[in-house]
Amino acid sequence: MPDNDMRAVRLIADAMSHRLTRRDIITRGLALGLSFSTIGWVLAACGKGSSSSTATSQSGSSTSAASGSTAGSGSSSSSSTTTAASASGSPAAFSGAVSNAPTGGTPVNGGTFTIVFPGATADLDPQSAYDNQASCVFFGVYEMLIMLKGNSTFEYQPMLAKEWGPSSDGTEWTFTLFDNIKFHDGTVCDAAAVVKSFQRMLKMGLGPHDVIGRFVENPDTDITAPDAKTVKFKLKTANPIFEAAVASEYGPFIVSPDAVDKHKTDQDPWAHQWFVQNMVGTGPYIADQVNPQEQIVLKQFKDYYRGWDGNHFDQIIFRVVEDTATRQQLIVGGSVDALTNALTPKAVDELKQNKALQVIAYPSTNVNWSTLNAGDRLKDPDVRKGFCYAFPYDDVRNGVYKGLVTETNGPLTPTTRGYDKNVFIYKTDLDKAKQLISKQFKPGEKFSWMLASGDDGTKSVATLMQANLQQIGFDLDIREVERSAETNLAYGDSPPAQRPDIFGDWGWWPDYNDGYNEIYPNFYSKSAGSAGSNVGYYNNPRLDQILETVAPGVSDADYNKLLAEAQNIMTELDPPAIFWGTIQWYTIMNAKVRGFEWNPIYLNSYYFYNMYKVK
Amino acid sequence: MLAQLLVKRLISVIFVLIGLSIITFTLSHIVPADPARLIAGPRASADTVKLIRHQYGLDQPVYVQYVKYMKGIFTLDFGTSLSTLRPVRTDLGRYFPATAELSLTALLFSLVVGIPLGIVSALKPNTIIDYFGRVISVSGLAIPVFWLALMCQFLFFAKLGWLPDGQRLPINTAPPRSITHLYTIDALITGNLPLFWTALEHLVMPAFVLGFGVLPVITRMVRAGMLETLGLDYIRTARSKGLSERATVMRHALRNALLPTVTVIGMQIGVLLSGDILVEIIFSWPGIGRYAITGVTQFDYNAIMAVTLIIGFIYVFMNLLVDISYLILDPRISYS
Repeated sequence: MPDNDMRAVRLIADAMSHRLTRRDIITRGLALGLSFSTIGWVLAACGKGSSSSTATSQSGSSTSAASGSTAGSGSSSSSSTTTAASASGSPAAFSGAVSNAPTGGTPVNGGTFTIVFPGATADLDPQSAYDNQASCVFFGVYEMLIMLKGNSTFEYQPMLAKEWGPSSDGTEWTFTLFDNIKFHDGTVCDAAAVVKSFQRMLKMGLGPHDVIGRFVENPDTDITAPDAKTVKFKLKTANPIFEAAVASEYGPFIVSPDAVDKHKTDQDPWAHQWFVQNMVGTGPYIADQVNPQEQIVLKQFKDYYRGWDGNHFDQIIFRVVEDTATRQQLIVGGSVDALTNALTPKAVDELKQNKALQVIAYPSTNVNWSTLNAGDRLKDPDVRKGFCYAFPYDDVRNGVYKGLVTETNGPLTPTTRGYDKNVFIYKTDLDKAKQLISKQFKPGEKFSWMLASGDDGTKSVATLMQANLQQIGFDLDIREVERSAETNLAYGDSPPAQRPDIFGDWGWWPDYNDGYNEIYPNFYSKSAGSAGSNVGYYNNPRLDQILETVAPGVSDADYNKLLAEAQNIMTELDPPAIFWGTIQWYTIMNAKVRGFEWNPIYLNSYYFYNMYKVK
Repeated sequence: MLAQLLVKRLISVIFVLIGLSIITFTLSHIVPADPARLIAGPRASADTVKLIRHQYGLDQPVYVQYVKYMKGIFTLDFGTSLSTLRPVRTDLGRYFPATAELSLTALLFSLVVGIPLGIVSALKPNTIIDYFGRVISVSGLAIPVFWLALMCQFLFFAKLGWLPDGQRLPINTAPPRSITHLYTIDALITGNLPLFWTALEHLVMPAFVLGFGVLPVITRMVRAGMLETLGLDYIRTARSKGLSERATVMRHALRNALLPTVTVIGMQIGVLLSGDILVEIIFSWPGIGRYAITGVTQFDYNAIMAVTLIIGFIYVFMNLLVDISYLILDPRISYS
């Protein structure tokens, strides 16, 4: 019986014996190329209910996570969800949200929510800024047409658009807007304004323009407003991932076209310089004080179309505090209400015991890896596999990162579209490492590992790897450089011979839920040098072919099959990197804050409108 | 003579600054760096990076960039900061007064404490007061400023709650109307006493930490100067003529003893005004030091150049002021 058929049989058997959750069935079914109706049958037969897929969603399941709370109140917060079991031979089910958040309390309407950032957000133009700290600010001031729903990376909910969907052939998407939407400058946000906003993003050509540019050929003719409430996108080809892109927190925020017209100049026809320092969106909060190097203050937008019934903050403050110790003092002392990924793992571990705080660690789409220089001495895939076996996975995950990094198999996480649970996973095996590396290198050979200075975690990782290599007779020269110097080398055009053997601290998460978007910038051969993030000059022709096939859009079945093959290439066959963990992002908040919903793609972001404090 | 001195010095300032600008520009451009990529971020495409490079003139030859930059300086146009994306002039206008206020307060603290301590230590050598002065001096030199800053923050903010953690004002407090751009002075001038106290409250910890590093230098210089002067014949003469001790010390000895201290104070002002990076970072003080370090790490050529030129100018200017003050303090001195 062919392999796929055997796997299908095994899937059904596992499902019927209730060894799989609904999510496992859907994920494995898709990976096998089963149709939705077949998957639905399997689910129904096992009593798991029908698939929740709609015309707009792909796999339909929300991300599941291991339940449980840390020592503390014993009750789970509203942010944690329940678990998935793990199949043998695959990585442990990703630890989902773990939280010590208390529940209950009497909601308070009003007040201030203060978030502390480790650095400034220089660029406040949502259609050119390309970092998630900026996106955190944008979530208060701007809106997309749709957004990811709750903790899910596959389900969507309305934002500016109340309804949406593709045409029958999938080449056209239609979005219907809510009524009475206004920009902060008082102008109306109708379909024409949305079209102009997208046109600005694509024609300006900065930052994240390719998030939508990948799907739309000509912004002048392919994005239209047939009436005041309807926005239509004509895609280059049918591609269901367009929905995910529209929900991205990079780029597709709607800016006021009136503000653009008012502040544009001959040299700056898109008013980009003005939007760098000013914000005019449709979001629930309006910019009150903008001093990006120190603080940004938002206050309630009284004409917000969803209204202000219920409990909401009056004011949101983003404060820049560069010193880690000071940030810790501020959150412990209650001077600020929240921070995300801005303390050391040790500090986070300690703060879990603090009853005045809630520590929510949640799964992300962020994978960390150490890039291997495949363009120079480490050309041989076997040698690179040797490095993968030499890595001290358990020590790094549990010792250095205190569990904030979990096991991963390849460049995708379980929350990312295209993830294949059955991909090979490396474990530390120094004998195998020695055997493989020795194929090319004699004992005593020295390798170089570059990392950015100032991060004790990555330095510890390097030191542990050095210790392992020394055990098998090789040496590792750890080179610390300033982060900007590392970035400069990585993204410059220096050839592989002038790069270190290993870029130690690298990682990525996709702009939207698309495995291609995770892999392409980092491992496509033409993304090398200044063209992208392929800092190791990795070149695998079959991987390139897969990415080129997937890019314009393929069926779900083909997508999953091809990405499964891609992951297999990048792990078992020809690893470009040591994939050492999926990052658990964490948010530490004042224990009185409620309404926070984490999302594995909207990292570092808070949907402020739903949040409030209790007394 | 004074006018001649001023003219000569001003001419030399120009040459110093030109030399400084060439050296700084060359060094910052020698380092292989791509500020455009840092602005765009790692996710941006190569085309976007190219666009940004062109937007900020980074794709032009280095000498063209230098000439354009120097032309701009004459109109006080220092270009656009690549880290804040604002005109550098705007950034300097915001950050320099913050450093000035912090530095001057720190200096005032070190003078108010250091000079009397130095005098008393000299008048009563090898007594408890002198030993206390020595302990303070050694502590100020030995204790790393960042440690002191963190400890003060931990004690006075986190544990005792007596003082704020940093910043110039609380977040929702509007600054006073800008006259000198020093919040304490402007609050006093505009008659806003509550704001004055708030601004002062925010100044106390960072100014103390910064001043504590300068205090030992002033204390020791005053002490050494006083000891030397008090041993001179004319002081013995003054005492033997029946002049009061207070008059002998304050009117006759101190003025001469302060000469070397004036030099040190002038240099310390230069050091302080160039911004203490660590203090500014720990206390989130929006000063020139913090701006400079961000510029360096982000390869923000324009910010680096501007800050270097301004600090260079400050040092040269302070040197000039010190020389002029010598003429006033000691009529024996001539620069002919």
